[in-house]
Amino acid sequence: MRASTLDLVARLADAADRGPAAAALAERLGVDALLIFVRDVQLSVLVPAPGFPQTLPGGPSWRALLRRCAHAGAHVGDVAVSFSDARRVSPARAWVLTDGSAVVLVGGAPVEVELALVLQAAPLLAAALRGEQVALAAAGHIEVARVAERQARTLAHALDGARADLEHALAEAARLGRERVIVAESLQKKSEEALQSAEETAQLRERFIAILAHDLRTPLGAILLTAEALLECGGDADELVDHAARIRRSGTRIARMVDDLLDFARTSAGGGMPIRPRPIDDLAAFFGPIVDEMGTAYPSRRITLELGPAPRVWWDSDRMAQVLSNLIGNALTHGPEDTDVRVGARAEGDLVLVQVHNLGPPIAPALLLRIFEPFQRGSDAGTGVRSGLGLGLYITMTIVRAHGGEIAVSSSAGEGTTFTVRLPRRAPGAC
Amino acid sequence: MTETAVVYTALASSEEAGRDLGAQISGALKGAAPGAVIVFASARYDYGALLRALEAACLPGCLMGSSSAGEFTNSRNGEGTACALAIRSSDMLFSLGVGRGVGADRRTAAAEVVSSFRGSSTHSFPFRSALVMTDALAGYTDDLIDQLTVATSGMYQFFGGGGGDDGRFRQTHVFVGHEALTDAVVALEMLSTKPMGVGVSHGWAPAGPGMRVTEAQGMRLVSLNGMPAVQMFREHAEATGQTFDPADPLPFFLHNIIGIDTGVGHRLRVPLAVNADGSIACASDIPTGAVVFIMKTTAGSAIEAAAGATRSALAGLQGHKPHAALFFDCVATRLRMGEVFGVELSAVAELLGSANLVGCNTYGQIARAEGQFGGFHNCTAVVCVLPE
Repeated sequence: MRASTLDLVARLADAADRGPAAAALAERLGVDALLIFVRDVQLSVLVPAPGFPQTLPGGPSWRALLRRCAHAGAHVGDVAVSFSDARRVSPARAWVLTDGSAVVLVGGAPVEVELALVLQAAPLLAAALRGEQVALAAAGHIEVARVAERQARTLAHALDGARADLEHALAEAARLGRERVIVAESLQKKSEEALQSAEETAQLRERFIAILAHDLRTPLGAILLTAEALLECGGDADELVDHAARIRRSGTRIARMVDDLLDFARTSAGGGMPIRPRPIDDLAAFFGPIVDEMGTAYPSRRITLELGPAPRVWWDSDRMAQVLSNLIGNALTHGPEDTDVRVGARAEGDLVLVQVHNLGPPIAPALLLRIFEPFQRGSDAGTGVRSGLGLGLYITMTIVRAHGGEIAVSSSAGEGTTFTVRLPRRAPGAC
Repeated sequence: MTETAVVYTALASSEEAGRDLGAQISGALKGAAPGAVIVFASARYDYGALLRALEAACLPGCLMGSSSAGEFTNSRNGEGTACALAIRSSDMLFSLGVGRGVGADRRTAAAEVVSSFRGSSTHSFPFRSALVMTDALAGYTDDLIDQLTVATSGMYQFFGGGGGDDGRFRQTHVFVGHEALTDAVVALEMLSTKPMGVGVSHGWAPAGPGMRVTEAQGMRLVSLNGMPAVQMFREHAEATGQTFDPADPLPFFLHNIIGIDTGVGHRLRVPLAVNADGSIACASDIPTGAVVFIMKTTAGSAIEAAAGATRSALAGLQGHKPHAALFFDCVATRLRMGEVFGVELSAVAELLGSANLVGCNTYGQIARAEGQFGGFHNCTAVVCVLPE
């Protein structure tokens, strides 16, 4: 069954069927081609409606015809119909619709009745085609905008990257900040400790000067008083001997303090305690005179000496005598008057163990921890008075270490106080 | 402190030209080795010979550049020549990045370039810029700049262009050390303690009414308002009193390019040739449905555009004085303006005062800086100013 003209016009509304429908309608109308142009909403020029050929053969005739179509009514003109041969032209008729769209028939002679039907339905069709053209133009704008959108997306990605970089940088900065706080706190702590240490050092120095002044003045005072007594004694021999002995004791105390100060100064300067080890074949012959000497100095006290089998040793005899004198002197000072001071020595493998013991009151735990540091002084057992410069045990430890040995102390209420010295038989540097 | 030297040579021998450039640089910098040398050379040269001689003569830390289609400095301007900018600065840090296979994979090429950058590892030089020169005929510069932007997290301003070949459009090169590469991109990372200014501007304006792109296929513009594209150009030529020969359209296209209406301006597209079917081949895609204009420019507007780009770049220095500038303009601008292009250069130089100026004519220009949405431009003046 043959489709009606209006059916063919209706098929033109279907974009997918527009080409065949236009060809069929042109045939029905008795023309070579049917084209519909719509007015571009933005540019106000006639452009081929979507679905119709979008590129015309061109030439001035088409431009002239379409230009005339700016005005209402029917227009005619010859137009090119071949892309390859511009001279091939056909007559064209154009009808401008009320909305500005145009129906153009190329070639042939249209059947009037059919044409009337087409023109009757054309405004409705043109409205639909204009809508499509608007959509097509919008698609073009979207395509243009898509470039901008791509650029925007690029920048967005770049910003994401920048944000990630920034977050990383902030996290890193926070981490560094935390580390710096920790370092600052550590530095502050060290600074406070250094300050405290400096304060303690300053206090020690002031105390040391006070002690030194006091301890020097005491024997000096004794010397001066004794000297005056000597001037007034009138030549009594016993009295002279007694005064001379007192002067010697005071002088000895001063000399010992000066020796201690020199030793301390020498070791504090970083030079260490120089020793000259020499062979000592008989420890009994070495210990005996020292113990006797101390006994003489403290005639009211008893010092016991217990020596086990002892091998030959290589020590600095003068310095080791100083060690023993210091330890025995300490024990005599801090042990009660009615108790013995015990001195012992024995071989222990390659070492020689020397111990000095007294039954004095226990050393305070706090002092026990720092007892070998300079300027640490205990109280005398009987008087409770602190005595000496507090350098004796420090110098003792320095001499023991110079011999490659160790010194330790234990003290308790029941056991008393024992200083234990462990010395290698052959001190470093011994021949 | 920044020292620069701008040098130029018209010597015909490639080796002599390179030696001449290097000797001038060495003399200007009193024998001190430059941190970077940027060189632009005509296609007449054997690039390798020129670059080797230049490198040997002044021992630059980084040597880069591209082939060009016109070379110029403050005082010289020509074609078939070579020019260079040497920089020695304690306020700047240079690194050289190169990416290959631009035609096949821009993302990888961009990643290769950026892998040499040091901006993220130093905080002493907070301002980040990069001079990007690419093989223009490898194409896809738009995408390449996008990829570089993403790879650097948008933290760099890019400027530069596509290498030229004296307007022959046969083969374009970029320079890395004494190598001349095709299908490649080279970037000089310029980290600085002071801001560098980048300005961009074109002097094109619509010359007639807008036209609907009724048919286009990629870079082929088929019809406008339903008419063959060539017809619309011909009508425009007649209406404006110009000569348009479809068999030799370049003289007309130099003065009449296409501007796609973006709503906020015009995206420029360069027409290159007229096809037998009346369609026009362009340098980039033109979408169907878009509204386009035939754009015009004049010597005056081109000069004003270059001056505008220079003013923008100077403003980017944030108060610092200019020390040297790199200027890139379209080869079409030089061809269109002829001798008057010298007036454009003078206008730029005048704005720069005593600052050194060097540059070349390129196939496409690059400017991805603050305020720039896109990074690749056509028929556009790009200026980068280095601070004192």
